[in-house]
Amino acid sequence: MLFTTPVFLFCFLPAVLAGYYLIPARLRGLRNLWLLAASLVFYAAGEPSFVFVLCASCLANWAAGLLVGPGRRGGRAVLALAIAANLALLFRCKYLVFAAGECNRLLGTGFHVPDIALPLGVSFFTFQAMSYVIDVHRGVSRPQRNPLDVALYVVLFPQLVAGPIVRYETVAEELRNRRETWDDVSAGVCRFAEGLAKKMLLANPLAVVADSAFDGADWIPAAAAGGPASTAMAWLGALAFALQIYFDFSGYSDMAIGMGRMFGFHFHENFLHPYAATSVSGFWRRWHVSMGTWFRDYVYFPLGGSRVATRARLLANLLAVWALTGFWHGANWTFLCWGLFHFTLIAAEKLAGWRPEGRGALRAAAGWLATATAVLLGWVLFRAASLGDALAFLRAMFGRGGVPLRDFASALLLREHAAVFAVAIPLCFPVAPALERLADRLCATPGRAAVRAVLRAVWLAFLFAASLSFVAKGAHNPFLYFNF
Amino acid sequence: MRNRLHQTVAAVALLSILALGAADGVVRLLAERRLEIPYRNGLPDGAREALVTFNGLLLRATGRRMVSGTRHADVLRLDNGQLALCPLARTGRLRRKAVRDIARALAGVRDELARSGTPLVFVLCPSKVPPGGVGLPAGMEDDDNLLADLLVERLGQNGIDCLDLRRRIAEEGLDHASLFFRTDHHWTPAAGLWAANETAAFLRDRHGFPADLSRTAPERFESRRIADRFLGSFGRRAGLGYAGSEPFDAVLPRFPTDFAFDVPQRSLHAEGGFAEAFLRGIGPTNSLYQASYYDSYLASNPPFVRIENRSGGNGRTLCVVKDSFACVLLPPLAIHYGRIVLLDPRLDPGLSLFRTVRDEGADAVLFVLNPNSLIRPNGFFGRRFLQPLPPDDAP
Repeated sequence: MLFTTPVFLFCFLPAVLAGYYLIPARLRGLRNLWLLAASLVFYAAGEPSFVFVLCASCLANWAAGLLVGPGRRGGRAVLALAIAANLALLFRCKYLVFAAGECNRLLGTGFHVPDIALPLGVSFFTFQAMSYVIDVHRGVSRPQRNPLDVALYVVLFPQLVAGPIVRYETVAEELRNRRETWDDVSAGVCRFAEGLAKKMLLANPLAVVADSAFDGADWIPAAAAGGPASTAMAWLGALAFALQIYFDFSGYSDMAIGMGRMFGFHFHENFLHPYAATSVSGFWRRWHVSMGTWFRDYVYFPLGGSRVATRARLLANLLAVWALTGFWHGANWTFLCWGLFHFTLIAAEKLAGWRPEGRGALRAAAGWLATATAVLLGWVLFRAASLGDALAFLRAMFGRGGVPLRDFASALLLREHAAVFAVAIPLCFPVAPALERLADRLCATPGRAAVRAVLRAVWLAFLFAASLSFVAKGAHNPFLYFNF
Repeated sequence: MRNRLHQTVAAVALLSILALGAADGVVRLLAERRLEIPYRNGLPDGAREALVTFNGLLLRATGRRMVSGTRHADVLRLDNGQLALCPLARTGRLRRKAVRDIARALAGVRDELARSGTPLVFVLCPSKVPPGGVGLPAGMEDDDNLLADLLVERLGQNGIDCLDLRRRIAEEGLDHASLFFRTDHHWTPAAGLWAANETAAFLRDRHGFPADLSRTAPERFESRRIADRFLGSFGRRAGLGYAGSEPFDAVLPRFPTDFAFDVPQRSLHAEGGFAEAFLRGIGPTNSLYQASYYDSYLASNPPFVRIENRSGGNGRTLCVVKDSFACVLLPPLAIHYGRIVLLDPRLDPGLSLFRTVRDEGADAVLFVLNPNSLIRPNGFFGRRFLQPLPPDDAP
């Protein structure tokens, strides 16, 4: 079930909210049980056969949590076993088909290539489960005696299928002792509406442009050599995809954070205007923060991080993290190459000591331009179906491969979606917070504040209705991070 | 405090929208005292239609011309405001291959029919986009007419009789757009009457099938408004707010007619005048989005229909292979003939042309089609439709 389907918006979410708040607040366990049941129904609606594996994973990680506490005998062995089991599940679901197929292709082996459909959100809930066991082992969190609470942490539907990857320590206390308030509920509803608007009003139209450039469309003549129809189309498609993936994923995160607040949970922010970064390292401190910090805390730091004796070791640590980051996104060489591309950029920045932040506007502008271009080119690797396709696309971007400079389709697509680009590009920067601050200054008196509150509510209601109109219409609605 | 205020107001507004959407179904249930709520994909019909209308307004406000929001089968607004299907970007090679295969198949049918002296005529129905791609965005290829041009050329090369109605529209100086609904890809019943007269004249002049065209002159028909507000298939996709509605007018003869209308697969039998036979079930409905008047024409486009003219046609029998464009052409055409049998092989893969020709004693076979209908992934005719009968079973 997607957040952007009518069934979720008009049936599931209202029913879960109503049921949740009909249970008296003092019956915390019952409220948690209701949320757990709802989350399993949510997951089963999209992945009925895998829901039992999900339950088994929760149970196994809960049991491991009881055995890995600091100072417990055999804790390290159990931790290793738990991590291995989680990774094995991830490998089996996500990488086995790819690994067997590529072995057969490259090494001529004869492995059986099983037919395994990727279960929804497997990367997210596996990482969350590992986070729980590792945090308990490190003594950061106390083990949960109640398996239902561990299960609720892992399967809580707002973040189950597309993150953010909530760390156990973030919600450990709230699982038992949260206090739901109207402030949280109302803020959560608003945040959810903003996320839905990002997804439906920006990401989805941009997806049409990106998909047309990368995959072609019925009405666009195919280029003779495959790939985009022109150089203009290639740049337009790359830009559209960069914006699409940002608004798609950050919109989903907004919805998840908003729904979490509706039920009294407070998840960390996942996106901090990444496209405003002036270095690639800065970009990764702002992009998919929950994943970045996960790899930092559970892979990079344990390997020694940047506090190592030699540059070679530093590079090896970075390489490990970025290869894993790439592969985490999908079982395809394109994702690995995308990860290695970012490894190269970050390693170069670290070795060169590149830090444009706070060193003058010109340096910051140059840093932004270089970062934006590099990230844009990286997204081509990420989006392309194969390395060959990515190469053809990149060649078209730089006028190679015999494609014309422009074509009617890119002009038409740009004209059709000009309004979307005009809104999306400024929103990549901290424009909204700046406007909020300005509005705060202008509306200092109670009367003006009330007018502002009403206007803001009307605006949000308009955005919400506009988003729902696209939901109702059932327009192009892909969720990019659904399968990661 | 300020945050609290706007969040509260906004949250109440947003939750109200959700509640209204869900409540719509309940209200309908109470209003109509029905036990079933018209839900589709988790959203009550009323709420969904209101949202789709609003969506249309948004698209219109942002100046969009391509309105489905998908890469496939998008709806396109032409320069004159008409909605059309975005032309496909077929390569010339693909078009040539498709047309060559169709022309070959039709030449085979023509030869087979010639054994029993039954003529074959192809009536080419025009697409919404006028020849030359007038009204398309600059640079977009006019696939429909390129395909039609190629088909006409190939049919000519194969010696197949073809009535190209696009050419007749140009020769008569008719306004192409006025022949079509603005929000639907089909032509109007009035255009269907014009096309029926053209077809009857063609059959009379080329094949000697008698037809008194003065009987079906436009002035002998009257227009009857079925609905003031009609939303065609493209309008339903784009939303009322984008497309706006238009009236739906049927054309009915002012003189008495008597038909028998049979759809054997649905056990449907109707008798009576033009309206009773052909316009059954067409009438105003509560929802613009659910009223498809054109599709209701000719009993909702069934795969096999038999029309008996009991009020003095020329006694000849036509077997017509058709797509939906024929729905408004055939009723007035039936006035000239004794019997018309309609076949749509897309809707029933078990149909056989030659068996029908034999069983019904057809005097001529017409293919009344828009060229786009012929280009389908699995072929228009299917595997069995054009298979000749065994020698001892031939017509």
